Amino acid sequence: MPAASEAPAQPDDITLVRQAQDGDAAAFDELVRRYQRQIYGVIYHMTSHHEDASDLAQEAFVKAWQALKSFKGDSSFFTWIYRIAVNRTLNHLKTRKFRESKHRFSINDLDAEAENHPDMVALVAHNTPRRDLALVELQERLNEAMAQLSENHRLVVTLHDIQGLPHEAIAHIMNCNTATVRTRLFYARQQLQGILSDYLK
Amino acid sequence: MDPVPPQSNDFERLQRLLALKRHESPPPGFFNRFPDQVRARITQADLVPESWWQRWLAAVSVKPAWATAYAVVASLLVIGGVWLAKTSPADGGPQLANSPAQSGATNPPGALLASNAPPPGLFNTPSLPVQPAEFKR
Repeated sequence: MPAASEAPAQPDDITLVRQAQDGDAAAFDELVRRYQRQIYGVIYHMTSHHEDASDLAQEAFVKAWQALKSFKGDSSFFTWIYRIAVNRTLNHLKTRKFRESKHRFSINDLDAEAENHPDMVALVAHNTPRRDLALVELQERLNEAMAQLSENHRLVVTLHDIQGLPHEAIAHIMNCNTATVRTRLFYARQQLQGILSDYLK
Repeated sequence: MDPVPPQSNDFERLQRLLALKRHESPPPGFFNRFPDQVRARITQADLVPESWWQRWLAAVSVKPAWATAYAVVASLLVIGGVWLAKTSPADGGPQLANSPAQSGATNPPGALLASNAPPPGLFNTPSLPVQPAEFKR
């Protein structure tokens, strides 16, 4: 017998999509809640700008709602919404020069888990008196290093090394084959290794 | 052939370093408000549909080839217009007379009169002698 406290099973994506296609706004809101973090994340790591990421993520979901009737289910909703977000972000970056962010996150925007993450502690432990400063500096160096990559290289690093997506999913999102994804990842990492050499010793 | 994935410690460290970016997060409460913000924008977009020029601008920004094509067509139109303006008077079309005096004396038959002034001699007024102005000291 199932426990009384057991949470009801969540409907899968395709069920929610079908309901949303029939005009169920609540079903679409559930899809937004389900993928907002990933969509915001990929845009933020591409732009390093919170306001832009927020605006573009909202635009992506609005476009998804408007184009929902044309969604046939050939790919997953996850891949589809990622494609919309990635295309809008790449257009945004093409039309507007990548600007130095004036609204970089402060250390307060790193969550508590990050501050106690073993890698983070190991990286900045020897600078204990200036630990906060070291964390902010590390964050800025990471963002600057990412900004020096080409858009396609930045995208594969974001999707694979930051968001943890497999090569196959990235290939679907970027509309290329997995060999291209691996090659881009290889060269992007090489470039990052050179830029961040101080932190990798 | 796929490149050989590097196995050095530097690459492992790099991956761990990049993974730290997962902890960058937007201001508190952002994701609680986000679905409502999306819903508000959807409602607004439904109420105020995009005009044709907004859709056109969006299409141009999406496809640089379209932007180039529009620029080429616009340039050709301007160049063609300038070329036509320069070449058309010499082609022997109807010519405009600049003044009634010219029209009476030199205009060929068929020339158009481009002035509303009366023909010479119709409203002749006596000419007054013009006195130069004087300055009194």
